[in-house]
Amino acid sequence: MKKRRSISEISKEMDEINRRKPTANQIEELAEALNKKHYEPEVEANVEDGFSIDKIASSKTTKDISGIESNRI
Amino acid sequence: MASNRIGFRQFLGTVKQGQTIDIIIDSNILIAKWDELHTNHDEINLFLNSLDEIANVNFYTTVTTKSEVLDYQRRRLLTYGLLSLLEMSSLELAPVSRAKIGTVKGRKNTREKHELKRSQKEGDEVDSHFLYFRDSEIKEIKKAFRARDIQNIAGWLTICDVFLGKRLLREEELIDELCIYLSPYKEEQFHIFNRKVDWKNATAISAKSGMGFSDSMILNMVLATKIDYILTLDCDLVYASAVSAPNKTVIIPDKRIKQFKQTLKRI
Repeated sequence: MKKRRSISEISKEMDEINRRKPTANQIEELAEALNKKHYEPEVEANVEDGFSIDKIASSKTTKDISGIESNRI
Repeated sequence: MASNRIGFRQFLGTVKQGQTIDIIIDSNILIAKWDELHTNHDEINLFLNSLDEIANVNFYTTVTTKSEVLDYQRRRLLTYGLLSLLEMSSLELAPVSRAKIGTVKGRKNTREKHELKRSQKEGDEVDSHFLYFRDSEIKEIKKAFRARDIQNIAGWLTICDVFLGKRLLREEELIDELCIYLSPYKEEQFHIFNRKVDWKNATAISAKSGMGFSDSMILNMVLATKIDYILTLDCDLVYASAVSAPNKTVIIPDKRIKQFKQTLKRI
């Protein structure tokens, strides 16, 4: 039989992970990576209407005479 | 139809102190056990803890089950994480990212309300999947965090690192500690299997009762083993095992046995 802790002990650790909040350092990391002065989101207009350019492009993929795939929007 | 189902209370009554029991555990049991918002959480908690105190239980499962549990946890942790971004005063999110999380949050809240109304109206349980963002919604939000230049692409990756990262990896280790993954190729499990596992049989099971493929894969695995018990919340699995695996016993919550009987009456 496989050795393991009791299910209540395993679950206690699982619950602790699920409830864990980000630390002050992690919040700082998030601010550094996400604050708008640091970065610009891609394809803003398309994100707003929920329809991305690559979604349209992939649905219109065709092959030209040489057999190479091209995306036409 | 063979009566191959047993309620929690009745099953606990049959278990002897120190007895070794092999059980196949379904993903919905693990999900309910570890999500306190799940309608069946308290019942599952009580049952599993009581069973574990009485007997030496080997919880067998498949890697498909593990992936279902981890995927649920991924959606859950990301939902909480993304929603918490809106509350962090030190964050100045780009308007498009903030707006996208807000839109998706609104959709989730509407779904949640409808599900609550439905469950009250039908006297049914709340489906906990409604409490979290859908995978397609997480993808929508991810797009709103994609950076325009590659140097600053770390935005979404930082979100994943903070809210998933080590947490999901540790959760996988905990599932690995609790469960034994069934494999007819492992020498230490040769004694459990009584025949080869043929995946075509899973298709046949699905075709016979119309059950989902991940469940039919579990049932197919069960049929190839000497394990007698399957622990699940899913009445569909009870129905399918009555059809395809009548010599196996499905352990389900007592309340679900009543629901299953009512369903059969309607047929």
